[in-house]
Amino acid sequence: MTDGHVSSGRTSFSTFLTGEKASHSLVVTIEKRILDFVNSAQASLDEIEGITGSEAPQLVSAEPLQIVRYTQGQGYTSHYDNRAGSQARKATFMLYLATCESGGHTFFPRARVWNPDSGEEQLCSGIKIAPVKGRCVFFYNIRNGKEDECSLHEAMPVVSGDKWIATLWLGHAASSVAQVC
Amino acid sequence: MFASQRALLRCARKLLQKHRTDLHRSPRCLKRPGAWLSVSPALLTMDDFLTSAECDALIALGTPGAWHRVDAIFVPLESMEELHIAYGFFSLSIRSMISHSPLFAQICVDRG
Repeated sequence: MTDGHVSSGRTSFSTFLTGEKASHSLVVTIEKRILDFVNSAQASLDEIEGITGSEAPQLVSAEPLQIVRYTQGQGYTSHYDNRAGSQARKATFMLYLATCESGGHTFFPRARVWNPDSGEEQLCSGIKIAPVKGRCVFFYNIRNGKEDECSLHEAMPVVSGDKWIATLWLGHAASSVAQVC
Repeated sequence: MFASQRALLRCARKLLQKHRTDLHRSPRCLKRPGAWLSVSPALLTMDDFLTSAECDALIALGTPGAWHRVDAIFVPLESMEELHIAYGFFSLSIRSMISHSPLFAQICVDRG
């Protein structure tokens, strides 16, 4: 939570790009690029796995773009995005704005990776994404209308350098509310 | 939008359309050629979604701003070291697509 109140588990500096900044051409351009991308992706995902349920409405911005800076030792313990902020966080789109020297990975401890051709052999029980400048990660917080427990994730502590991210939480068009709790 | 970004987005769309069944259910494992992997949750990563200049501009746009400092709990580094063990790194790169290489999704999983 970044409402100025104490948060359990998060150590960072953050700000939402609201007001004039929300309508800045760069922000508008990036948000459009994100929505083009995620809705292209969703069309495929819905068809394959029914991730968002039978209706599969388009994804839209649920909140303003948020910029977060983690300095050395800062991080965010395991959490589900759909339980924080507004209730419209069906999916998360995160952008890494700088390459962190060491640490600061985005870690999904309950994620599963397996080879479908070799039965249910699980190759690893977690996914760790390195913060590399320009890289994005997009993931759903729900599956079939319910919280996806595999979406649990954390920002691992920064060991050295600074970690900068921008996050856009996405909701369904019908339920989108420009609300920041 | 920069021309390169338009190209990037075009490539991403092509990738998603052409490899819709491969992208999540069967990403390619570079460590084990020929192996296809399934991933849960539904998750995509892509390199170079933003240019370096765009990243810098976004940071600048957020500074100065109404920054909130949140420092309730310090996460101990020592215990996190254990989590590095046995967990993987996962990356999808479409850099090769931009340079007109054959269209495919690359998923790299490093263990340990």
